[in-house]
Amino acid sequence: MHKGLAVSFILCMVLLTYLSYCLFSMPLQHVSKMENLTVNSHVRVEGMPTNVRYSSDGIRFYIQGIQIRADAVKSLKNASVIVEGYVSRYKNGIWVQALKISYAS
Amino acid sequence: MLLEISLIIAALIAGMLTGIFTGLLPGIHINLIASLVLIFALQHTVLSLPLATFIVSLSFTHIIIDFIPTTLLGVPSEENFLSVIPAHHLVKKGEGYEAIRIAFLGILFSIPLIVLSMPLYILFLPKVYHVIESVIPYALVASSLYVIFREKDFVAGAIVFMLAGILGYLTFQLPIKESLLPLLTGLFGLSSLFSSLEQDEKIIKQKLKVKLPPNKHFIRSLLPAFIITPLCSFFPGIGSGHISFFCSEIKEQDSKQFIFLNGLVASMNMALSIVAAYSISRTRSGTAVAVEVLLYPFSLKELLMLMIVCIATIVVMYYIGKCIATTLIRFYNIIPHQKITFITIVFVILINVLMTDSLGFIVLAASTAVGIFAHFLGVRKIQLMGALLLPTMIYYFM
Repeated sequence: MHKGLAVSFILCMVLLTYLSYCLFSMPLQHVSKMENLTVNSHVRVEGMPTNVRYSSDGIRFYIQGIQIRADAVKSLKNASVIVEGYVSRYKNGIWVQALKISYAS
Repeated sequence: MLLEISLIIAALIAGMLTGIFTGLLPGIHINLIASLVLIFALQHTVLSLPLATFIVSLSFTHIIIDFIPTTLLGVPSEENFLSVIPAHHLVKKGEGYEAIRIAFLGILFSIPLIVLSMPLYILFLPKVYHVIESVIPYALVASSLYVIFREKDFVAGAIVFMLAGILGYLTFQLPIKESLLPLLTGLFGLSSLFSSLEQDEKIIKQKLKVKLPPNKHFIRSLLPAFIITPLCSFFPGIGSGHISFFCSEIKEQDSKQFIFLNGLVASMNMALSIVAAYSISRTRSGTAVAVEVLLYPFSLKELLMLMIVCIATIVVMYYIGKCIATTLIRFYNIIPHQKITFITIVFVILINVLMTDSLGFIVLAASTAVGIFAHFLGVRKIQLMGALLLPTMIYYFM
């Protein structure tokens, strides 16, 4: 039992470390146009949000024609933002699902 | 009109048949089928209602049939992992069939509770949800702490919760194909299968002639389920396991009552997640997401239609499920347990190889290791739900 406990603990620590390494070393592609979007890629989009719409299921806006969606309902200031997220495809086309939204300094 | 009704009936039957398949095969989750149906729906928008019928029928059939491998093989899903120990206790006494029948009875008893809760959800939830929404993150923290501190060794419970939580967070942040599949399969399915390999190889004959306890034995499970399930079912990260746990904290349940309660709550939770998609546009299950996307904008008529589908599926599958369980127990009584477990492990790994990518496979290995670690520590499987709860909390607080 102690052997099993130790082996499973070491295994999960090693694998968690590897997954963390994958997350931090993942290439972040800076995109500025709709054409550059590849589904599932990790992207960074920067610019002024336009057509901001809030709804019960989150927030939607555009940066240079790229549709951004975020689940959290947060008010955006009238300033340039940096969005990091994934490119997704759904019924209504292709868009970036935001994981992190921050203000450009 | 006639064509539409025919299509809906065909979808209902197809959903049941697919649900039998997904329910019997460990590792196949409803969300996976729901996402495949959504991909199909992108090209066939005219079939929205039959496709939604298919998903609802499949989901309820899956919940019912899923109790058979959960009981016999000890391979739970994230919905019924808490019923594994009481069910296994009955399997050891040769009463596995009785455990399955009790779970089915619980699902059947969920029908009146679903019918009673539905108007409450439609009328009151939209009015109070904005208040509830503000307390969701605190409620998640409080419920997680409560579950951790109710553990005999709460330090071990906290370690498992955190490990599962970190794994869940990494899984959702990385671009992994069908990320929930390897995460939940490893935490609840593969880890249980590997753990059960160390058991005795002796076949325990399961009795097929059983006399179920009288219905009044289960009455005490109904009230807590009716109160707690509607309150918790729209909380993100809180599944049937947590709800059953909280219900059993209100009124103590014996093994059979707990299995009944788990069946009741799993079915009621699924139905209410669909009602919540209609009333507050919040989707807390893969089924609800698929239904909302397919039927957007979701009308009351369509919701009622889907609830009829849900009730019809439960009633039909209650009887078909009993026949399937009887047949499988006949095989179970002659095939060595370890052989079945080994075949199931190979099958589950194969499904993951086919459905996910290389990173997903790493997640499968990590989640299996976390599940086995929890098993060796003697920590209850409910702590593994940290994989969904911790990322949800991070999302709300950051």
